[in-house]
Amino acid sequence: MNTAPRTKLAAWRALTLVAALAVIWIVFFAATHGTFASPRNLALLARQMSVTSLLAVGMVLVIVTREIDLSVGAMAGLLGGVAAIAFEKAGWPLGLAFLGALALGALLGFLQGSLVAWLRVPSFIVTLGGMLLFQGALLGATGGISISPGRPFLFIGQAYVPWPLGWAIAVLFTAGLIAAATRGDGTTRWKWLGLAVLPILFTAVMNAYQGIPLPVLLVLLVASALWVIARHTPFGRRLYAIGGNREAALYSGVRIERHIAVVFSLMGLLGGVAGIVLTARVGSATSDAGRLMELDAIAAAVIGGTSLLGGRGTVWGALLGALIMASLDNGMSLLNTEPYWQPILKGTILVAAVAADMTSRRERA
Amino acid sequence: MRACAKAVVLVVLWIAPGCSRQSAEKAGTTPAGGRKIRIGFSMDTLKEERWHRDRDLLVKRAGELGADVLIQAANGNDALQNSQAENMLTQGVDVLLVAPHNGKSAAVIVEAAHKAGVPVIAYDRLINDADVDLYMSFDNERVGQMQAEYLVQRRPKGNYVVIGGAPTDNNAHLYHKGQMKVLDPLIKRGDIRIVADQWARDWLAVEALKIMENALTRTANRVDAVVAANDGVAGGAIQALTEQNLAGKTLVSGQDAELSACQRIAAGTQSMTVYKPIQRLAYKAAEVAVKLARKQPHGETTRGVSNGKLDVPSILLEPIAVDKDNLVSTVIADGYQKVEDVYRGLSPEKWPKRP
Repeated sequence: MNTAPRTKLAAWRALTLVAALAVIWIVFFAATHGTFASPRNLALLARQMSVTSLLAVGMVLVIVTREIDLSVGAMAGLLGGVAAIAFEKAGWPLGLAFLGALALGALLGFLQGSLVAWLRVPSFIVTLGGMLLFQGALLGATGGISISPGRPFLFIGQAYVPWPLGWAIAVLFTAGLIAAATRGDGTTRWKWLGLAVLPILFTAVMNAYQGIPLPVLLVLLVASALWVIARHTPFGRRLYAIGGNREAALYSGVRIERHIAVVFSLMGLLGGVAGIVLTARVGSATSDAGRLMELDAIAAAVIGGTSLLGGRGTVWGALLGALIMASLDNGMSLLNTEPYWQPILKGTILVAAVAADMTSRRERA
Repeated sequence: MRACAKAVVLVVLWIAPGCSRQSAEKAGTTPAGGRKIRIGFSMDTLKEERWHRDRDLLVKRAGELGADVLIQAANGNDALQNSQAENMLTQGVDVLLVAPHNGKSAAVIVEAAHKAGVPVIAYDRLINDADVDLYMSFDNERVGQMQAEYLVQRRPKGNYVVIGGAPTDNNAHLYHKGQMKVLDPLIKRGDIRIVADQWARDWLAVEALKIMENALTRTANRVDAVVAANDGVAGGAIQALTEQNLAGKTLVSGQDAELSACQRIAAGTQSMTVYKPIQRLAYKAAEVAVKLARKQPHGETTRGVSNGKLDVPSILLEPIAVDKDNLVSTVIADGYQKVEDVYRGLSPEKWPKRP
């Protein structure tokens, strides 16, 4: 297959997304008389999208292999609850409580992945069952009582990165991007240089408030790691191959089952991270935490250009998708709109994004 | 472990509703027919702490009165609740208590029960458009009123944020109505400005957190009081206030006297909660249900509450406003929360003196 039209298509898509985001921001900026774009609101906005983002970046990899994971919301709720119980009730040290939740997440993910990979149960069914199972387990574990873990636990959801450290991280990211620019040529060079401005801009805005929120930094680190895995490792490239053309991948010797099991384990791990952040952010683990978050995660991935047909999607696109949805929530809340508008608008944008995707495929691919 | 034991008891109650239990034997009160009275309790959900209490207390009191209770919870699913109620009628309950998830769709349950000659008591939430025999609850509008009154007495002027519950929950609208009854005159006079009035989807704390964060952003932290409809959303709002070092300065209301809310009241970050002594409601419901099952008059004074079809005779209990000053004499004295749980995070000198 010729790659030129593909990259062109991807660039066109990314551009429409950024344009859509710009339109949304400008509208809210004007409607809120500038409050929307204040450093404080942007910092909170970034934090409000952190849990969905953590799930969405993992969801990209799942969807890329042409599977789906409907259990992530319930899984995040359960694991956030488990971490809170381990720390608060069982008196585990914080690090151990976190590790325990993450390990449990990876294990549950692996079990689901194994059912999908080796027993060939459709992932829709496995994870639908998983969702119900995890919801029940959370209810049983908490007994309907909210569990409020102590201060050290909440740190992870509420702390800010001190500004010098924030700048150090920004410089690191920028240096990396500039290095990429020097290796590129022509238009790609300009693309990298343009992107190199982003970390600086982002850090400047965040530091103008209280610094980069810790969960947001976590999102960026996780996203970077997944991006490296997806784009620059043989493992990642095989995931795209599996989703793009399963038979071709099979005949070229890819061990499909193993890859799928690993992807689901990874998703479970991220469910653990998201759950811990969720509990820390809200300040307590509740018996229906995480409800419907799987849909937000899938929507973010799909709006960000991940194709449900498999083989296509990027981690950064999913973050952009999550940002668009979080912006809608945040802006409408600032404007005090009636609650029914948020789901209506989000639903519309989701369908519009997929529709745009399909038409562009037919026209350009 | 206790949850395990409870589960076992429940399973036993389901599988063998005819089994007599020891406590009932001792009480020795069997109805005229010789068979033990069987109360059906169709619940919306067990996802909140309070419903576990409702269930446990009701079972306990009914047991003392010599009745068995069949319990099914529908996890917020209307269709499931209807079929569960039907199943309990099939099992031959003498009276049916219903805490409906959806007051409208539960009307079918009332019809089915009446066809089987079984009286229906709407528990905590009203069933609309149906011939309900009795409604037992706390005065929900009064709950909202108490929340607003408490805040208004302490901050008669300033910026207020109103965070309601799930817009799909009828009670959430009643709380809101009660709150606005108190706030409206002050808003008209210009003393109070509502800077945000939003509903937290599904009563989720994380929704309340976002609403509060955004309200603080918009007003540059100038919020004097938060009318939070229950303790869950209060918790979310307080998280946002803590972030801005406003917790304890901005007043926050609540409802339900949940453990975490009582802890916050003791620590000073939440101003008040409305305590609904569920024990009174559950006990009274068990007593009334047993009387109805025996076809005796319940002997309580009622007042009519319209459900769209008729004025349902209702037993409405008065809730209690609880703050730092009466936390010990109400919630803790009732055994609703334990003193060592509530004050756990605080230094010993802040603990109340033990009687």
